[in-house]
Amino acid sequence: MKEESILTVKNLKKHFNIGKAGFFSGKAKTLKAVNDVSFSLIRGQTFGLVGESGCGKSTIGRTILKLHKPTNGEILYQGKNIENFESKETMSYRRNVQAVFQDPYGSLNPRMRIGEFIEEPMLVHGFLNSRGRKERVNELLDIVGLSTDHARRFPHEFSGGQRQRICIARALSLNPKLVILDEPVSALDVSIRAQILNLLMDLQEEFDLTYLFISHDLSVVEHISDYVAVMYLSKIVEMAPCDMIFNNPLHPYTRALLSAILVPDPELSQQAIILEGDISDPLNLEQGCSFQNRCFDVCDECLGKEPQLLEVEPNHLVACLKITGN
Amino acid sequence: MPKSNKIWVHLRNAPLGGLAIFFLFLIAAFFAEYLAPHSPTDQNITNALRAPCFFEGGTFEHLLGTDELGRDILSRMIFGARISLLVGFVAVVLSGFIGTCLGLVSGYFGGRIDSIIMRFVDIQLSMPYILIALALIGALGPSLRNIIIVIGITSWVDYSRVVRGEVLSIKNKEFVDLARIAGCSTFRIILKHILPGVANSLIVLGTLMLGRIIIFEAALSFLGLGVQPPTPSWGIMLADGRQYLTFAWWLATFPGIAIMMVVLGTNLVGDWLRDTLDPKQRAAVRGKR
Amino acid sequence: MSEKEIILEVRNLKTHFFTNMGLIKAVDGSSFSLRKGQTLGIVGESGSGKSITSLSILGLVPKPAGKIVEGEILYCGEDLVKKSQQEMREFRGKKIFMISQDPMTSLNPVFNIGNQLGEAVRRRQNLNGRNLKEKCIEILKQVQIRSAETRINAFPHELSGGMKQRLMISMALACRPEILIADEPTTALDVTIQAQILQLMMEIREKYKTSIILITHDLGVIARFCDYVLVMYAGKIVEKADIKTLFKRNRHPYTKGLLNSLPHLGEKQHRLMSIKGQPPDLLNLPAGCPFEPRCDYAVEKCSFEYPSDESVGKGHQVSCWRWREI
Repeated sequence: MKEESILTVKNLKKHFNIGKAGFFSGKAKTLKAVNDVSFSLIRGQTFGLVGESGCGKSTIGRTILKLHKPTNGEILYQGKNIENFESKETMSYRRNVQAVFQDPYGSLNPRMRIGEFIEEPMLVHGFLNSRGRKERVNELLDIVGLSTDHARRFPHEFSGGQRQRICIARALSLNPKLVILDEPVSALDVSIRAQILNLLMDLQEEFDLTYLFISHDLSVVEHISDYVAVMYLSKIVEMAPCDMIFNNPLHPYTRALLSAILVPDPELSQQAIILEGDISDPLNLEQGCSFQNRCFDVCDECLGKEPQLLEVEPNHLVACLKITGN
Repeated sequence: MPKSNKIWVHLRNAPLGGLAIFFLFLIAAFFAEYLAPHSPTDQNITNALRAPCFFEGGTFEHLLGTDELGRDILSRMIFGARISLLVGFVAVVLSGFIGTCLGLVSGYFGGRIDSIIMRFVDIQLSMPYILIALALIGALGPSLRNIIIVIGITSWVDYSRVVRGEVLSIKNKEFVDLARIAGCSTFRIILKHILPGVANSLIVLGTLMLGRIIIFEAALSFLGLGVQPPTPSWGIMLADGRQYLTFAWWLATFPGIAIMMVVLGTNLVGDWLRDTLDPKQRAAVRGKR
Repeated sequence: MSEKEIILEVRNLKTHFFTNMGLIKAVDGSSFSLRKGQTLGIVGESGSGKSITSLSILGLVPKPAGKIVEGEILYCGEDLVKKSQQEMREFRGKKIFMISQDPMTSLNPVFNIGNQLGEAVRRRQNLNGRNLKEKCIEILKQVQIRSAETRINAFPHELSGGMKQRLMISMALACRPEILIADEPTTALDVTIQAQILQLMMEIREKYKTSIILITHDLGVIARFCDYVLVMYAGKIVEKADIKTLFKRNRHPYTKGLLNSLPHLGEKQHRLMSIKGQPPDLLNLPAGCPFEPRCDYAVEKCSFEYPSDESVGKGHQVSCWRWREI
């Protein structure tokens, strides 16, 4: 079975300028949110991007969505760099790449009826005529499990889970190929998360969708992903098919992360690897491996040399000097 | 939760006094010709300086008395309401339009254009508005039309600041990002996604500014820079009545009371609108974990 | 193991909110007790009433809308509901302390942490000047805040999320309360930091034998940390049991549904079992059991009569008409 790559990220760097060099503010500082990240999204699969706050995973999603401009590196869609698109190509790209964000309360315009909200992408792209769009809105509401007479209502009449369904309906309205899901269930009640995850998986199968699933919740990522990348402070530290990462984690950070997950089973004795200290200040990264100050397996080399992401077994990449050797 | 439920609840708290005053003056302004017992400009020197009806020397012909030229105070007040409210509404709309446009552009695009516009705001705010008005009226000449223009041009500043602030808080919301991701043009984003969010604050601000502008107009007319006699304006009536304050107090007092009541009314309504529109917005948008 | 004494007993607590939109029965008839040295978990989703329960115990129910309309909260025999504001102020900070989800709301941004911790210490001990500072540094070291001597002059906004929670725990230590209420203490923290904080709380619990009420929606945290659990839904306690019983032999459809809907690490299922329907609307609760619209076991009786509390076994109570069949 040939695997088709929908989108490729190559050596992506995204830096933000914080503050300006000036009379009172001293030197300009750069926040290196994403630093040399590369991966490919395979059609029909879910790529899980995992990490804690500040690791850069959301920035990657937003850069793919063209909300940020890359500082360096390329994002290739159908072979072409998205930064070099003309406006027509950008519109076509937008038709094919959509998103669902974390906050169901901030994602809906409180003054727009949800029917209009779902219709908007179609309206902007000149899809169908007015009647056709209204019918499609009803179709989409049905697909996401809402009733068609909800179209006339306003967002405040819906619960968090229902709002996410509305966002999913909007994302699907143009038949996209790729959907970026940025923490889509993190803000929902636990009992609703399962509903939405099931919905996402059903839709993926039905419409042959490709997902980039960004989350900090490892159990959810394990459930839905085919391939997983673990990020720490702007870099990918480990990348492998889902079962390999969870059954055989190699990078010390991945191992600590997995051991810290609390399984809801009181009889399981869980020994978490407790990481000392806090995450380094992203504005003042030291030389060498960015994980050095918390790593339980650190050695002298780690302080001087930055580890590269290298393949240690088929399809399993790790960025750690101890594991990959020099 | 049905929407109508919420509207009823908020109407229950409406400031009846404020609304009543407001509508009273509105009706007076609209139907001045039918309500006023006399013409506001008819002079009758022999009838000058008559006291209001319940005082010594007063008659029911002139309920609030007459001024130094024998003109009926009540009629002049009713026609004066028309001037005040006309200037008020038009200037609010004019300054609101200018201020909103500049605030939207400033807030949404940020960067240089934001700095430039905000510097304009700072500069204008640092100059006493009376001075600006004086200079402009001096250049354009005093008239009803010019006073509306002058007030409109000097009052935009408040709107742009408020609008800019609202835009800054809205533009980082996810639904604005989603609009961009869907391919919406900047114009559509500002019009359909940002402006409606700003509308509530604009309504409240407009209502409160109405009172300020009415006072502003009265002040300019008082100084002789606004509408010219014989057109009755509360400001002019105040100016004229000033010298008679000790023995014919009614010339200045009634217009003064009228100004106070209209402004009080608009402030009460504005406050109520602010309370109704904001928490509803907040309750509707924010959920709880 | 001997029966430990009961230090807090809540009897038929009803806390209602009288709002413009209607009456919200945030807590509707809760009864439970806390023993010395025990860790009691209260688990529930949004609208369950778990946070309001803790606020009721502390006498901090938001006024004027909120009011404890019925019930008793007995601390060593004294009814806290009947105490005056002044008496409750004495009680808080000495006998009972609360750590909340967002420490920024509990910390004053204008004072440095030494000041705030010092204030907490002074409530218990009459110390001043250098002695006070030394005591503060000692406590900061206990919660593993490194470089405590310099950190003591830092301001809250200079600390990371994990550090702030450590600071809150240090204030709890300073007060040495009998009861510590932790309301979602780690929800806003990254997974690796959560592990640190929970570890710290466990060490402190071991050392000082504090009774803890832990409020959370995270069943993993409950499994690791608590002895006894209350499950709340729409203001009512639907099941209470010790930890093993709750996870292995639960008898309420909601508890069961909640546990089944969690993705389990290491067990990749194709589809998660979810609880159907929406979270309860507290303004429009059904007449009988509030979970009835979403319950797979519901029968006609459930829609008009709220199930009474029945005892399943030792320390295990459930409110469900059909618990025997579950």
